[in-house]
Amino acid sequence: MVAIIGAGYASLTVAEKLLEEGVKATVYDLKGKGGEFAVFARIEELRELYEKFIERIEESQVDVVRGFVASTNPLRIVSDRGVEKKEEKEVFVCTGAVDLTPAASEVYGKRLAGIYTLETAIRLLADGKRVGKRVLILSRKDERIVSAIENHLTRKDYEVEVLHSEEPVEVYGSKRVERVEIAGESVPCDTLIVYGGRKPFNPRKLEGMLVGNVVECTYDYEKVYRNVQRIMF
Amino acid sequence: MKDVLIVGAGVTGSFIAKELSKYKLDVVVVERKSGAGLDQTKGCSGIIHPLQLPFGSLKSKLCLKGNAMMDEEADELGFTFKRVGLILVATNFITFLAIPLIQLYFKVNGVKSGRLSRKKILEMVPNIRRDIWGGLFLPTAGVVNPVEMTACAMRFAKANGVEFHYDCEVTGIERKGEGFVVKTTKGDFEAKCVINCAGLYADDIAKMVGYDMEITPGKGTHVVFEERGFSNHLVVAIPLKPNKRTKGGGALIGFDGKPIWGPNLIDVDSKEDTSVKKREVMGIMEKFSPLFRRKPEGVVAFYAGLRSIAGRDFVINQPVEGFINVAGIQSPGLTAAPAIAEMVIEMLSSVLKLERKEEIRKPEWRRTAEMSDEELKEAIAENKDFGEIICVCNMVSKAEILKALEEGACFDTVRHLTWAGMDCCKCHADIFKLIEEREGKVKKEMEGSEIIW
Repeated sequence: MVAIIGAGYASLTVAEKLLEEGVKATVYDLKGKGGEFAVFARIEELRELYEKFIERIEESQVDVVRGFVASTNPLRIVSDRGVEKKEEKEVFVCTGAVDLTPAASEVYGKRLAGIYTLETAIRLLADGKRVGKRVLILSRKDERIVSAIENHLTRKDYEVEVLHSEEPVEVYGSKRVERVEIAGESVPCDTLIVYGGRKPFNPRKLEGMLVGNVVECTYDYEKVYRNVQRIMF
Repeated sequence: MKDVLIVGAGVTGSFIAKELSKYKLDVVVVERKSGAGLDQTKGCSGIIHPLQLPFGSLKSKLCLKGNAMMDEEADELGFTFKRVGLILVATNFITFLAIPLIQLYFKVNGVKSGRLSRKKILEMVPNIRRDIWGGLFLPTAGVVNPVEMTACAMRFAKANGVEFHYDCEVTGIERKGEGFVVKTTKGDFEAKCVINCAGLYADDIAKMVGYDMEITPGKGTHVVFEERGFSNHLVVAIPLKPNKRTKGGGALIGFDGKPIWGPNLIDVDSKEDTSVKKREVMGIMEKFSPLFRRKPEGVVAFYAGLRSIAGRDFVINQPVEGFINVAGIQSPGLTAAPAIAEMVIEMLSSVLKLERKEEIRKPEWRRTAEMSDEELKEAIAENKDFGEIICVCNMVSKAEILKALEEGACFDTVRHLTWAGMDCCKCHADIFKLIEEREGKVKKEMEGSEIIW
């Protein structure tokens, strides 16, 4: 009678820990096992950066039920099987984090094609899509994933520039990004990837014990690891 | 030869197309963007105005009439419309004294309003500052998603036989016999009548038939916040000395309940300048923050729209027989759109034979988020895509996204019509991939705005 929402690192660790204690939990996820590591694993540089976590997940024997959890109390699950309702005694919410929007990251100017959050860019790159040619990565927070993505883009023949700055930026262009102005300087580019930090991803306001990146809101999974350890062990 | 060609699929062009689709006419719409309502319409505040000053002007009359028509339009076309009401707040003693006069002035001009005590306002909007004096409630004010409203009108028009061409820009108009030849980037069209709903570029289109007018762009910036329920009503302070710079704008809310503050009014040189400056955002924060005890949580987006201004009022006329201008449609164009459509039909009746169709089709559109369990089960049994949720925030299924692509093969149409990806970026990449699979490429809003290369 325990449900875990999300099937990323925190969720699978919680499920395994519960099983050790003799409690069988059901894990629900929209996309199946892995959470964002299922995406990271498809980019060599990120696979290397998160090797430890990705291996943990790939080795995990936990079964995941595919479906969208619309609400808790009761649990309402929508999937291609239909709509199910379940009473659960205990719920763990492991829904992870989402990048702040460009506006919340102080990106001003026109809303043009070619502006991506880091998260969206990673999801596209993992599928082998091209996001542009000349990329400016604007990072408001110094996390190792930024340089890993820089290396990936360089290897894929993009022209890449990385700016670590807290200054507001303004985007110019007619239909797609043409240049970005920051602190009085103009940077020509056709793509702007913004990383302005993350926030909890729990838009359905699911109720339960919050574990993992939904609390930490980061790409630094050592912090997520410590959060899970603290709560579960 | 077509009976009517409409230039522009903004809210006015789409509502005219929708209304014309009820008659036995051959109608075509041409639009430079990749979907309906993606230009001036997209940038507006989404407010269905309770009134427009000065009373007696064309825009004021059409606003009142359009407002009264909106429930039926929403029902017929299937867009979301909520009469959330507007609170006019007296923040000082002088404006408080003016309330009875304002109420009387509204009443004489046919606008319903109710007095609100300070206590009542504090109950209705708990986040409002404590030292307000009182106010007026205008219950007929409402909110819509402007792009959704427009695309729904187009969908209705399409279901009833109107032909439309997106990514199609008008390059010239020539007279031919009793009608016109309209040259576009997608070839020539011949039509008996042309309706100019070209928004910011209506002056260029009017000049093609020798009518001289000038449209100037007036930019309005908005800030969208994350915190739904911060206020459940539109809140506007009664200005002490109304003038061009202080009027308009408010602590508004969107169709989905998210707070929207703005718009301001800024003169710009370019008809494409929808840029948002930091100082404008700061200005909006400074203007509306004092109304409340705190700011709403979490900024989601900034956006700016351009009003097409041709003097003080709308310009709706027929300078050449068969050529109708529907130009200078600034605020409250969204509210007035259904009434403008009726007015244009009336004008056309002297040029064309208008005969109602026997059967009018109402296109079906279902939102997964609004279905009951039983309805959703049935929908999934019929089409598994209803069970595949793409946008978690607004519970939007793959089925809705694929369906929305029929109304405009670009990200902005999909986003506004389905509400997918309007709260955060979590599902954007998935939407891009669905669009790419179906269309071969992903545009934001028009040719040249490619998202994936």
